Order: sequence, then structure tokens, then C-alpha cells
Amino acid sequence: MKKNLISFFCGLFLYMIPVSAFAVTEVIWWDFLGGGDGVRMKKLIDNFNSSHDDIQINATTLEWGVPFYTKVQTSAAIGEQPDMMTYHLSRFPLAVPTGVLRPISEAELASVGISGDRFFPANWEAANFGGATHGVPLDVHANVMYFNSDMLAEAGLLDENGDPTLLDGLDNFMAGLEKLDAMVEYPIGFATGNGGMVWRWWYSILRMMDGEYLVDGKVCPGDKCERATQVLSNLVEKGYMPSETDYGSAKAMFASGQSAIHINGVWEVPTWVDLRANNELGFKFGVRDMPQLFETEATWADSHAFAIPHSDKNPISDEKLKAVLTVMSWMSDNSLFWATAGHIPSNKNIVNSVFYNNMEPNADYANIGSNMVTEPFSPLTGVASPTYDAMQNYIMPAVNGQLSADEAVQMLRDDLESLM
Amino acid sequence: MKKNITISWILLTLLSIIFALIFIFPLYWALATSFKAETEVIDPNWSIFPKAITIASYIDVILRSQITTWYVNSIMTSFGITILVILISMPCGYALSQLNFPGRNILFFAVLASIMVPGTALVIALFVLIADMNLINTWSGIILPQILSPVCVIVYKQFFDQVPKELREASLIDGASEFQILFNIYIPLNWGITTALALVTFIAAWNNFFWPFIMTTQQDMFTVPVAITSVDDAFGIFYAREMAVAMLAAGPIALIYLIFQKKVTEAIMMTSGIKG
Amino acid sequence: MSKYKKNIVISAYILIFPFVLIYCLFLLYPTLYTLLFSFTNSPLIGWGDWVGLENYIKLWNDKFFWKSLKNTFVFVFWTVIPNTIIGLMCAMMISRIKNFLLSGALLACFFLPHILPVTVVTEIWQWMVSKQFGIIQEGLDYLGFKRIGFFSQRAWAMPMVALITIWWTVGFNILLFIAGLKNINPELYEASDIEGASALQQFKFITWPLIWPITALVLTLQLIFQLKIFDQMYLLTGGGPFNSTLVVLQLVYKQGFQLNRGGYASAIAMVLFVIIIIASVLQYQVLKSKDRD
Repeated sequence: MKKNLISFFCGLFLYMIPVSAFAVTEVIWWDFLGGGDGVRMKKLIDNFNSSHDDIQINATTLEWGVPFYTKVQTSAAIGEQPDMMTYHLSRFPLAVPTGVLRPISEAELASVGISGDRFFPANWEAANFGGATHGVPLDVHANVMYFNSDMLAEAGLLDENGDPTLLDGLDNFMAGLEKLDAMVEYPIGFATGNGGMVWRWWYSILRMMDGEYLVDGKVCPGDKCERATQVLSNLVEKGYMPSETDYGSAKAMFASGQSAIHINGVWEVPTWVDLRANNELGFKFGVRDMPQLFETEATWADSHAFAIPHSDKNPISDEKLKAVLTVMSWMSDNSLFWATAGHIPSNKNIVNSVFYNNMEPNADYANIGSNMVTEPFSPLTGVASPTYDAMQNYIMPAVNGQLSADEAVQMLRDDLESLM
Repeated sequence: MKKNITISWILLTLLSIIFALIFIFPLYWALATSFKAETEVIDPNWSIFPKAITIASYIDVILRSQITTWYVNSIMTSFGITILVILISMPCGYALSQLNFPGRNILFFAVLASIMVPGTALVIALFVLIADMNLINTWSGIILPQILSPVCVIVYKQFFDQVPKELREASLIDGASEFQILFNIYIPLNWGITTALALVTFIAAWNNFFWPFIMTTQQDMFTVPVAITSVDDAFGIFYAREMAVAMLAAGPIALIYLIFQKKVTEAIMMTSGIKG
Repeated sequence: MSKYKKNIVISAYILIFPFVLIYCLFLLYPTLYTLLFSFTNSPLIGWGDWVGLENYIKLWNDKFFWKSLKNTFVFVFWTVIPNTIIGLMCAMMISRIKNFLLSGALLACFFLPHILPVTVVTEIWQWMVSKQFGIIQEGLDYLGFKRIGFFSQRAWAMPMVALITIWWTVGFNILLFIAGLKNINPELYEASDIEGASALQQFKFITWPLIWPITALVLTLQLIFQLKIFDQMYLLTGGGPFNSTLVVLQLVYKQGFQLNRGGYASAIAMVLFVIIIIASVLQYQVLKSKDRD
């Protein structure tokens, strides 16, 4: 009888082990990360999955921009939303009022060891738009200047430390470009046909001039927006940048050595790093903060955060919530690897660590931390906002010489102010 | 009657051939690009024919993306749509053709009117409906809104109209039901048009973009045309790979067309029997 | 006495039932839903409040709506007639070839683009006209012209999308015309040959009148299809530059999906639906009356 009892309990015990061992919580994850970014994030996800028996991330990458954000909205409305997703902080002012982001309480964050002081203040403020935490910041990404070291050296534009000498002031910049123009057809490979790319550089220049984009319900007060447009259209007119070029072609121009300089976001760092590692990049490349053309220092920056979609129809369960928070916390703790995608981690502890300080090429543009400017807090700005559309529609053609800067900015004002 | 081969005839024929070649050139160019190495693609000294044919891009795409999953999705949904379209259009066409019933004219008119509806605009309503049926991200969800084919109904009606009335009358006298008449007489007599309609429907189903695009949110449920807009894992220079993906997306259908060219051609021509 | 036989009616209803069910569920219901939605201020998903005709008044005053309407008709202008003419010309080119192999090959060249999915078509053409590496730009270089950013220039964006659309869809028209041409009795041509008619006269007096029903059909179908244009715009230009390629359905997408105004977007969609009906009925009547001449 005793034997039977023992074997009964052993059997029960053995039966329960597989049940608990297979109690895996699946976290449905959506992101918009492709290219070099995407490869690195997939690695992070793989690392998480192989080190966690109880939680597995099931990731899907959707098309960046409007398609992504629309799908989040439509699926949340019908209760088919993912458990967690990446989201641009610049879009929070647009997203939070629509109720598509689930607020995360302080207690919930504390349960996985996350608190506000882990992050950079500006970052954390953006993530708390609307009076509650709607996202856990992962990184800050800014615009940078990539350059072909070999070409710049040949043009005499590198100093003894290997730093480009055309980064300080508009005159220096133009002089440097003139030298490069003698060597190649288009010194700058820039996606002049891409509204988003134009926005990022244009906004940086505007802020370098101490200009404002949105003030008290007015768009582009004064004439600084016009002047910022003219800086860029001037570059095209002088033949320093090709007109109407798309994102892929601009990259290809730089990669093939046809252009000496490439203005883009930090997220392309892995592209050049990987190409160089595979011996497919025929030159040494460098990366620095954007050329600072005017009195004030400014570089456009945005931020990726993790967020939880809110759905009335199908709110997230406690079990899933716990798993999601665990993932977010792990990602934040491990964001050093994410830095290899070129981004600056939002986690202060990581950024202040010696590992990050020695990371190449990130160390070369670490000074961006002090001059980053984010987009104004408004439903009109942020990824896939009316601003991005308006850039594509009005400012981009002006940069390419199709209409004057004055006309373009006026159209921009009319369009956006009608939406306010 | 044989026409004399004159200079103008030769000239005109040559012009036709040249025009046809120019017309098909973009397709050729995409194909050629897909077989070039990426470095050759952006080489300033480019050439019309690949200097060195390589399938590296194709291998890269096949290994690094979920293209096999997407193919399965496209095949299953296209087959599903085709079979269901034929199954529901045929009886409806027969009824409109041979039977007299209240509402017949209304139905015919309704079928014609549905061609004018801008389907893209109904997407949200359909989305909510499919969501309520819990069919988001499923094959059924992709299939169901697409099995409505007014054109198939009308074509079947036209063709059933042409079947000699005596056959039906004789069968009725023999005591056959309408279903028996449909299955034993009308369908066998019209295999040609059925095959043709099936082919055309399959192609249209495969190529449908917007509905699958809006309603699938999981990468492993994408159909091929939707997936190629989202393949972005390649970085650096990627034109050859982009073309390879496009070619892989179009390949099966192109093959089907080339094999069944005559049938597909017939199918489209049959629709010319429609008087709007 | 009813002219309907009961068992026939029952059989008929059974036969049409699947189609009618699907029709009601996936066409009628969404259309009614969209109609009702257009009288509300709802967001993309979920019901808002009833606002009556407010959305319609709003769109009457919305300059973007009128622009999109104008753009749609511009697009129709660029595609419907050229597509039909090119279709007829190519069909005539192919029909005159008696050699099966050659005519089959020619037809395949024109029809192959038609069976490609729209995303493949747009990828192929974006590669063709890429400002930096596109082969058409190389051609422009060779001819001594400046390179053109086709999708970034207001003057070129719409014609380019039209060109691509014609490339993609003309195959369909060609087939219809070939079928129509086949039905013309060759003896008519032989007789006119004997009388010494020129090719132009033959076209004017034999081909054109006899092919007219097909031409009318093609024109009507083209009108309906191009009024409903969306995919190419979405994929190639997104409505720009300067909203010059913003067609009505693109505006519906923008208002509904981007700006989250489902009610308003539905109103625009309803207006488009009515326009399509009116335009096609009108066109059909005009063409039919010409037929009687």
C-alpha cells in the first residue's frame, strides 16, 4: 500500500514537471526594424529566447512608417494586437491621445526593476507624455555624417587626428565641399527625394539657426524655415548633392565610392561596418556628428521605445504583462549590443560604462549626446505624421529646385495649420 | 488567301517585333539585373547582358526570407479562391440563364452593378467584419472577400445561354432535376470556359495586393505580392536582390501563363461576350 | 396564374443561394456599413457619434477633396483613351500576322506584364527609372538630356504612373480587340481590296465601325477601373509630389488610415462610388447612341 502511494505521488510529480516545464509564455512582438538594425535586433531576440525557458518571443517585422502604425491601430481595435511593439517616441504626442498605448504603472515597472532614473531625463520625459509612462525607452538615434576617409584625406580635409575639418561652420563646410566637388560628381550622397531624410537634416539646420518649427499654434514663425530650406537647395543647385535621389540610391552612391559624404541616421552604422567586415566596402569610412553650420549646436534625434498596445476588446493578461515587462527589462539591460546597431542606448548605466565608451565607431559621435534635439511635442510631428507628409510634398521639391523656399514653406504652413 | 510579301509588309512586321521587344524590355531588365552580382549592377560600365550570371541573389533571398511560407500562403489562398469562385458562380450563372424566378432581373442588375464598387474603399468595413468572424491572419480571411466574381457569373450565363435548349427540354421530360441538368449537361459542355475562368481567377487571386496587405499582420501570413514590399533584410546595395524577389514573386504565374497561354487568352476573349 | 413554376423557383433559389449569401455578406453589408459610417464622426475602427451630413458638407469645402477628384480625372485622361488606342493598334499589329508562332510570341510580350502582381510592376519600374542607376536615366544621358526624377517632379509623376499603368494593363485590351477583329468577316477586306481601297480607308469604314462595340466596352471598363485606381499611387508616389498624384482612393486611405477619420473617409468613398456609377452610365449611353449612327 505504501509502495503504491509512493508511486502514485511520484507519478503525479513526474506528470506535473512536464506541464510546468512546457508552460511557456509566448510574447507576440512587432517591430519595424529592417536592414542592419533588423539583423541586430533579431540576434538580441534569439539571445533572449535561448536564455529563457519560460518566455519565448515571437517576432514579426512590418513595414516602417504608416503601414506599421496603422496595423497597430487596426489590430488593437479588434483585439488582435501584439503583446509588445517598438514605437517612436516622437510619435507619442500623436498616439497617446488616441488611446492606442497602454500606460505602464510605476509598480509594474518596479516589478522588473525599471525606474525613471535609469534613463536620460529628456528621454524619460518623452516616454511619459500625457502624464503616465507609455513606453520604456530603448535607444536614442540621431543623424550623423558618414565620410570616406580615403577621399577626404586625398582632398586634404582630414587633420592630423583623422578628423574631418569641414564640420565647423557653414563656410568651412562649403569650402570643403568645393574641394570634393573637383574629385567627384556629387560630394554628398543624400536622399534628396525622401521626405523623412530631408526632414531630419532640415530640422537640424533650423535648430542650428535657433529657429522654431511649432510655436503657439503657428508653424514656422519668422523666416528661418525658408533659410533652412535654402541651405539645402543651395547644395543641390551647386551640384554638391544629386537631386531627387531615393534612400537606397544615396546609400549605394556612398558604398560604391561615388560620393565622399553620406548624411543619414546612426542606424546605418552596421551597414558600413558589416560591408567593411566582408571586404565589400572599398574604403575606410568614418562617422562624426553632423556638420554644425551655425551658432547653435543641434542634431536631430528620435528614440525607439517598447510599448504595449492598448485594446478595450482584448486587454493584455497579467501573465503576458509580466512576460512583456521581463522582455523590456532584459532588452534594456542588454542594450550594449543594440549599440552595435549605431544607436545610443537610453540606459544611462550602459552609456556610462567603459564598454560603451570604447565602442567603435560609436565613440566617434558620442558628443551628440549634448546637442541632440528632438521633434516638438505635437500630434503633427513624429514618424508617419502630417509633418513627414508635408516634407515630402512641399519641402522636398523645394530642395530639388522645383519651387522657391518661400512658396514651399507657405504651403507647409497652410497644410499643417489647417489640421490644427 | 495569301497576301503578297511586300516591302511594307516586312517593314510593318519588323516594327511590330521591335515594339514588342521594347515593350517587354523592363521585364527582361529586371530579370537580367537579378542575375548580376550587386557590384556589377551599379557599375558605371554596365551592360545589357550580365557579364557574369550568378544566382547569389536568389539563394540569399530564399535562405534569408520566409519566401517558402509566403508561397504556401499564396498557393493555398489562390487555389481556395479559384475553387470557391467557380463553385458559386456556376450555379448562379445557370439559374440566371435557364430559370425564370422572381428577382431574376434584380439579381442580374446587382451582379453588373458590383463591378462598379470601389472595393478598396470597403476595406475597413470588411476588416471589421472579418475580425468579428475571428478570421484575421487566416487563409479564410484572405479568401472569403475575394470569392465574389460578377464577371464569372456573367460569362457562365452567356455560355449557358448558347447551349441548345433542346438538351434541357429533353432532360426535363425525362424527369431530371435542374441540378442534374447542370452537372450532367451544361458543365461538361463548357469545360473549356471553366478551365479558362479558373486560370484567370487564379492569376487575379495570386496578384491581389491591397486586401491581404491590410488584413495580415503576421509575417508568416503574408502572401507573396505583399511580402515583397516588406523584405528589407538586405542592406548595403541590394538592387539585384530586390529584382530577385520580384522575379520569384512573378515567376510561378508567368510560368502558368506561358504553359496555358492559349487557355488564358481564350478566357479573356470570352469576356468580350459581355455587353455592358 | 403565376408565370413561375414552383419547383423551378425553388431550384433557382438553391442555385443562387451561395452567390447571394456571399454577395450580401461581403459586398452589400460592407457597402451599407460604409454608408452608415459616413454619417458619423467615427475613427478608423469603432463607432463614433451620428453627425448627419456633416462629413459631406466638410468634403464639399475640402480643397484636398477637389484636388483628388481633379487628379483622378487627369489620371483617367492619361490612361483611358491612350490605353484603348494602343490596345487597338497592338491588336491590329498582331492580327495581321498569320504565323501562329510569331503572333503568339508577340502577344506574350504584350500580355506578360498583365499577369504580374502590382508590387512586382512597381518594383521593376522603380528600378528602371531610379535617378542614380536606372537604365532610362542612362538613356537620357545618352540623348543629352538632364536626368529626371520621375516620381519627384510634379510634371512627370502622374504621366509616369499612367505609363506604368498602361504597360501593365494594355494586354487585357489587346485580347479583347483581337477577339473583336477576328469576328470581322475577311471578305469585307477582300472586297474593298478589289475596289482599291487604301489601308486607311479600310480602317475607317470597315474596322472602326465593326470593332466599335468592343471599343465601347473597353472604354467603359477602363473608365471604371481607372476611377478606382489606388495600388500604383500608393506604392509609387504616396500621393505626392505636391499632392499631384493624390487620387480619391488615396485620399480615402490618408484620411482613414493615417489621420484616423473613418467616418470622413467613408463619405469620400461613397461619393466616389456615386461618381463611378454616374460616369459609367453616362459614358455607356453616349457610346451606345453613337452606335446607332
